Amino acid sequence: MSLATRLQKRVEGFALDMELEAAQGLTVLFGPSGAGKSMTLRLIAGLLRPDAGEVTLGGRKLFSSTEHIDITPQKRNIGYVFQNHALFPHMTVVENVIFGAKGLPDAQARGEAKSLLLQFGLEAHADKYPREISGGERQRAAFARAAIRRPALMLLDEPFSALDLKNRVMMRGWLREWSEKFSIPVLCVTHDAQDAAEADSVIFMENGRPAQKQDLPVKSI
Amino acid sequence: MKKLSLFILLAFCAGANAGTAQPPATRLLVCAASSLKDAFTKIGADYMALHPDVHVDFNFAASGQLRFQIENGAPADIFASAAQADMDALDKKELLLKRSRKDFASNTLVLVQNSSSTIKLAGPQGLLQDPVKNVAAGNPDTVPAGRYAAQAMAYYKLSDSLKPKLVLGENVRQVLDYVARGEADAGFVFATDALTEPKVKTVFTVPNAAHAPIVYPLAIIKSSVQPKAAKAFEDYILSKKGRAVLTQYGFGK
Amino acid sequence: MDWFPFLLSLKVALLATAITAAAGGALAYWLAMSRFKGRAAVEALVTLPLVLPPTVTGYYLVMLFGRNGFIGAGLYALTGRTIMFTWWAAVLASAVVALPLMVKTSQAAIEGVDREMIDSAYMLGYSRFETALRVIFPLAARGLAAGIILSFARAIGEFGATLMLAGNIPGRTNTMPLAIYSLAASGEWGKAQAMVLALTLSSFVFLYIANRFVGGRRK
Repeated sequence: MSLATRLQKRVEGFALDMELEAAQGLTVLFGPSGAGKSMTLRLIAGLLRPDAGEVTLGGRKLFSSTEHIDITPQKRNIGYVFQNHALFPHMTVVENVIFGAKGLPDAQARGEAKSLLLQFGLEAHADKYPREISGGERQRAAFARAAIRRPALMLLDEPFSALDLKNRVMMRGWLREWSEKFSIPVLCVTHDAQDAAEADSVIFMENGRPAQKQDLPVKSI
Repeated sequence: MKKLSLFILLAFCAGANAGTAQPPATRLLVCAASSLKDAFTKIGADYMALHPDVHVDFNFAASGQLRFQIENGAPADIFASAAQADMDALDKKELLLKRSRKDFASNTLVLVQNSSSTIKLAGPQGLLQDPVKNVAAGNPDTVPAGRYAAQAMAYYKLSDSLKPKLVLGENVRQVLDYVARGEADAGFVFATDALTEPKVKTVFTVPNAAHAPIVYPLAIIKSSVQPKAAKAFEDYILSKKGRAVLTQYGFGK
Repeated sequence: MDWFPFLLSLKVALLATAITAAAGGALAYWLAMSRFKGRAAVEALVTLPLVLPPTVTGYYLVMLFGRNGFIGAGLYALTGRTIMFTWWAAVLASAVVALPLMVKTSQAAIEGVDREMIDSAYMLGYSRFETALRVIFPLAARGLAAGIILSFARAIGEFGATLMLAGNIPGRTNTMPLAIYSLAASGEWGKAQAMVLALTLSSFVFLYIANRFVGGRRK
């Protein structure tokens, strides 16, 4: 179950030309602001249409410009956690997570949600609204919502940038643990070198293209 | 609170529906000039009392607007205009039922003042004096009374000198209202309109020579789905009873 | 007092508001969410009834819906009837003049919904329609409600366009504004005042309730 993609996209004077592969485990897409990292995620997710390229996940073609395949984001079975978590403010934490379980019968959805909340340490906050919990908790809730349907790939866009240092450190460790448990590729975008240090594999990106390998802090044990 | 408001909303809806239950078999729609409002409403009521199976609805507006509506397919059965011009326009477009066009009343143009006004107006030249700030008349483009007023002013050679004082109304009732409320110091209206408003007094009557004959035509619209019933009502208007009502409200023959 | 105009006005305004809410909401969604070539032109067209004097809007409606009109002709061919001089014409006139208010307000509210929330719903498997219903509209609810309230306010006071398309027919199409105008024009001030009072009071009560209803969501 791995991801392979070639992407080309040109918007308003910015040219993106990427190629990457991500296997099971935590892969970090690392580069400075404006490198096109978020755009890469959106292209993989199907929220933005590439001018040319391919997206293959676990052998299944999600997009191919040559074969005229373009599966809608709804059907790609990809979990996406946005930079600002994007939890729905008009729903409680548990309602948000259950919302992610589209297609599952009610009882099963509730059961899965409960178990995920437990795993992610959120069971005490189940009936609270997003504005009532901390940044780190919101991020984990968004994660649970994206993961409840066991997607084939997880995309995370700067998941920790809005957190303070203490929470960052905690969340890094948590993500590390979690991606070891699930046997799917987790592609995480960041410009923070410490985040990159936790990864199984790092892809460097600059100005819309793959970039030179850089020295990173040693991975913490 | 929410439940209460919802209930009130529904109650209004139910009530609103109740108010529009449909009555009898034959329905006629008469488009008539505003100046005919009082006379025609009475004639209609009398007719409906005599013929309970017929219901007559009226649409009162300026003749010009009525003409526009009928030209665009408004479902009227009878058109009663305050001027020949509007009827001619429909005739030209062949929208009238042949041989149904009849002149049914005449009117005279008068100059009125507010009943409590202290300005002395001996004749039309009196309008030029300073104390007279505003003179009201109908818009000559759409209001027949306005057209006749314009002709009268030309006859008296006052058109240019009165222009700065002229206030135009969109129908003859509005002109009457301006004078009644003191917004205008004088106004040109029909004798029939002056009769309805106690707050105005007639100063003088404009002679017939000063304008085109003020004759009211009426006709049945060709596309009427009730031509027989329309003819019956038209005949009633032209009958002794109908004319009596018209005379009562100040119309001439 | 003759209660017919009062009840008719309520019926017409409520119905017109319902139509405007549905059509305006859908139009606002389409304008907010799509990028297409003629978008600015469509927006300008929708805003037009707000800018034109109601009588002129009425003029255009008569040209469109009169028996020989672009739409009226088809209607007549299908049903043998015309909408002019019926109370449905009053509903149509009110709905058209209220539409810009609904669309402008709702469009702004929908455009204000965080794009990431909409994308999250798509990624979770929800179609555009499902996302609109379960995410976009609830998050834009405050703006949509404001649009609906404004539409109702505009609809109940509608005069010029109604006069043109529906006529001023006592017992059939004379809504409150038309009835009041008629009474005032024929000098029946007492009756006119009674109606003015009724219209003012009921509009106030309605708007008060509506605003409370919307505000009730706030903590």
